[in-house]
Amino acid sequence: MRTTLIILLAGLLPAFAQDDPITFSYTRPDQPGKLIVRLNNGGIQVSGTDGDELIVNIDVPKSSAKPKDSKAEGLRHLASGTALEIVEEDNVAEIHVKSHETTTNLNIQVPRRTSLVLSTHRNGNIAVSDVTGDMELEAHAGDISVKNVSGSVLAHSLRGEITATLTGVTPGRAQSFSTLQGDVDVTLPPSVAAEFCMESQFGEVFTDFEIEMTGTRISGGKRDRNGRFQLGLEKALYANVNGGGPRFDFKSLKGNIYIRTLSSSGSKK
Amino acid sequence: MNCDVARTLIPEYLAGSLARGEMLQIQAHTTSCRNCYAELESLEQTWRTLGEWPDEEPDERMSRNFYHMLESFQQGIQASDRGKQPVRGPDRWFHRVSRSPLFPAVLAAATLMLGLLLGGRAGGPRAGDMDNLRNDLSEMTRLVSLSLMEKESAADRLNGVRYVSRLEKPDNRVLDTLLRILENDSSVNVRLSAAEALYHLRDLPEVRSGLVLSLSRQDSALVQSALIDCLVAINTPDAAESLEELIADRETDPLVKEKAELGLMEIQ
Repeated sequence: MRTTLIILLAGLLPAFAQDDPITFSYTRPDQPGKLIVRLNNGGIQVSGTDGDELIVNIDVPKSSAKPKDSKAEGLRHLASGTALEIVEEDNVAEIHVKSHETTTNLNIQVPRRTSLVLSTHRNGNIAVSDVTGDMELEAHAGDISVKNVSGSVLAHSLRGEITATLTGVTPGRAQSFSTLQGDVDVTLPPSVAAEFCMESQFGEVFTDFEIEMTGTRISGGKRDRNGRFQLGLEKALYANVNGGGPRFDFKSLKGNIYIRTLSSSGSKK
Repeated sequence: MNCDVARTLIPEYLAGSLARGEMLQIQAHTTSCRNCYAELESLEQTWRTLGEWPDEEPDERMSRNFYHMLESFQQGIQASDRGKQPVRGPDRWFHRVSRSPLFPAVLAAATLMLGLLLGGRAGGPRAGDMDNLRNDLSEMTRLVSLSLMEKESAADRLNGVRYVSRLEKPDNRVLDTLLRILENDSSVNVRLSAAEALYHLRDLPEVRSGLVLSLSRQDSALVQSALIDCLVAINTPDAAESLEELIADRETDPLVKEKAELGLMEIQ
């Protein structure tokens, strides 16, 4: 069954926050669902709950106010060019915000067993907590934060940092974390069995896992124009953890890589 | 949960028919037990792949081998049934699996394994059989890889790209798929993985030219960075030219430009 909700945010003025959150459910609430959100401008926060409903809160921060339109002097502002469209079909929910200019932040509560495809292009962070499933997260300018999740995570941020704490991983599933400029800081259960590929061009790599190095890919270095010695361009380290398993990639061009073991209390060591 | 119990429940875990408590126990156990994890991974991969097997017409040789193995399997079942009481765990599992739409495919996989087992008992497989088996396995890995690389889930496509490294000689279809993923995949992480897989195949002429062409089409700075590694390793005039274009492009990220300059020095 396909359900479409189109919410014309007629009153979407600066510092707007919709008083009543938008609530809907998956077609089959007893089965895992999937949520897809692609934002041009804004942040996305998703948290898992024990409930069956998806609850969407919309927030337009004051800072995103457009310059005053002098032609509108004395008139009431009835509609901006922004609309929110939600489509749910066969346990897959997709949310579109139709606005390129206004920053729109979404705070969404989902049933815990939900897979996520979240991306934000111009501004804003992505934060995910308490969810189990496959996650594809991409933030162009902002940070990605993942807390208390289980499943598989593919996260990419161009300018921001990636911080992820996984309490469980799907057996046999690959994980991948990559940034251009930020640090990659990932905490995993100590018993996780995987092959780590750790690669930072200009940064450092740290871990407290017991690892068994299986290989490196370091090309020969040479002196640059200023006479400084430059280690080879490629600098990838491969290591097995707990005997090896699926590939977990940790990549940054400039940032550092930190891979930590989760303590039994659930916090970082 | 101990290994015996876990192994009895793994098929039901994969079929999604376990209660939440048992499901969590399986997840906890397979996170810490390498052997059970390996069993789960192997069975999961079989289920997953056989479920979306591409429609290909079997040739005469494959059909002949299959019916031979099926016959062996049936003989084996009849022999093992004589004078034996059914065991509860496997019997329950078989009941569940036999109701699955994947049953014919699982039966084929089981037949293959049993055929091998029977072959081994009869004095060991001949060298020709082993070659055929190796070829069949390689073909299966190729199909698994292609099938996964077409999936909707980025995690599946990532696994599919990884499978390419297990192929001795990836054919044109696999290479085309990898190059397409490198250029168009919606996930940067999957594109990065394709760049790494192609790095290891850079001795093939079509891969070399594909990598050189791809650099100017990439909009992700991190994938550009991975491609610089590929082009430096390729070390041809075309590769150097492609790096020069990237350096000259105003849109290029300063960090990527710095890396491209270092790369160009390595080539020259």
